Amino acid sequence: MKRYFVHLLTSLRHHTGLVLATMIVLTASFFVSGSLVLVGQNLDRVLTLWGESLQMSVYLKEGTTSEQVQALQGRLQKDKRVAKAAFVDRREALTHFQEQMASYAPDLLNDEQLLKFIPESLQVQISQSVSSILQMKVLQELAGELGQEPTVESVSYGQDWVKTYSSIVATVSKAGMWMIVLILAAAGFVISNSVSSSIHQRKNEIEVLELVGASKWMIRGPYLFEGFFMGALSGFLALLVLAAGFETIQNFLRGELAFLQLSHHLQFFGAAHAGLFVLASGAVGFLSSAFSLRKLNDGWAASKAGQEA
Amino acid sequence: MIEFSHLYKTYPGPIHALKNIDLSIDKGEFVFLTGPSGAGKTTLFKMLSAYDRPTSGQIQVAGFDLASLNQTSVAQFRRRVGVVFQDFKLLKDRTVFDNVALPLVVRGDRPSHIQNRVEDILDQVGLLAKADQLPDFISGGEQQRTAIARALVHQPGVLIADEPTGNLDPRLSEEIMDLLERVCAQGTTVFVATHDHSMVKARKHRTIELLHGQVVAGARP
Repeated sequence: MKRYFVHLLTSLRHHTGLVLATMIVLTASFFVSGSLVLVGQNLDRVLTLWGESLQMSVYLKEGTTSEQVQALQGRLQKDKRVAKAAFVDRREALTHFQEQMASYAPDLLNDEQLLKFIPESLQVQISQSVSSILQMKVLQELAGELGQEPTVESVSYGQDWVKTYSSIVATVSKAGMWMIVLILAAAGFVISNSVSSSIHQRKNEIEVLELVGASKWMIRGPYLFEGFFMGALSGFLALLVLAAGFETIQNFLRGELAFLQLSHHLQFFGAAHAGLFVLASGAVGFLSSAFSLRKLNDGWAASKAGQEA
Repeated sequence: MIEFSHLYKTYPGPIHALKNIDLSIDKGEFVFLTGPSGAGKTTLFKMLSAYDRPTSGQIQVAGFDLASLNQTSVAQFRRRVGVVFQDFKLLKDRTVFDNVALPLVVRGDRPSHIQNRVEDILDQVGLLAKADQLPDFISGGEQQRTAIARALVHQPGVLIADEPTGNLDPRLSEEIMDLLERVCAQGTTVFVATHDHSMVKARKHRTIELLHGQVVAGARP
């Protein structure tokens, strides 16, 4: 391990500017990637909270018996996708309808005739365990299944709103994923470039090590470590900047935008996720180094260098 | 111990650097390789030290077929031979001690063994006092002795040296040749490429002479 750190310090000493520039670019790249993951994670949380209001109305056919209603309700309550399936009879539905319409049409408050036009229904709420990305799909599946039931007249779940909501989640997720892939590819390129420069600067050392019998991995190990270390350290620095930025935004949400009540729903990475983030950053560095090293030494670097010369 | 059979080395051009070399060197033998510039001494040295590969033919050294070494076996072979390069091939950012210790480090020896062994060989080549110096801060002769110490530190079965006394004054040259003879006396095969005819004459060892890439004298003991 001492050999690896000596190698790292030598790299830093020989091309300090390049290593520091690489670290800055990497930190910025991992910061943007981390931000996207954090935004995605919190958007998912907020949308899931909003999504809790997602429910479907399953209107029952005229003449459906209470046994049939109970059977359907029982089946729905056993379904893992469903949080709640509440029966709403005509009277309850009418009261609700009249309350909603009171300010627009006060005459409706006393109109008992409406009762025969309002169907009985089951109000079905989607389980919180269903992620926001899947809610649309689950709603459509469930609506399709319930539409086949002989006792069901129709199913309504605010299709337009759900579609919009779902497409926002899907678009943000997809765009975020692509951006992360692009940023990580760019970060990999930057690390690979830095390691290549380190290799070029140490061509003589690689030749000499080969000539005294160093194995392939003995020569490559320090470069892989250099890539991993640069990646992991940049990931850690990006995490610190991200934490500071998150705290600033939280303070803003607690102060100026307190009415949105968002601050207590937002969460930073937990210890495990933060550790995973640093490790993943290190892995990007490791893989980028491995890419640079793929043709580094096959045992004959010195003779090849001689031929090039 | 060392066996060359129908060995050819051709560089792009084509330049026929070595042509049909047939040689046999016994275990524990001390051999000089001489010849004018461009005769192929350095090419033969490179073939023998597995620095480069032949175009055709065979070289057997210490049980290794150097013409067909793969990545793993070339490293194993190099751990069993000691090589002194004409341009020394020292690492400029490591001390004399660290340069000499390299063959033991790559072999994975214990630090205490490395310490003792390196100090011992540095003492033999008269460089113990310079152990902590960087190569750029010692003389050419001292760099050459560092390279010799590195080639001997792991007690190789074969020592191959290209002009090992080229940068040394006569007194130091004699000391180094005495050291190589002592190493040979302990059972190591020593192969020295040199221009120094007076040294070759004085030492009375088998001498192989190359001319235009071919052996013209000393092919057999």
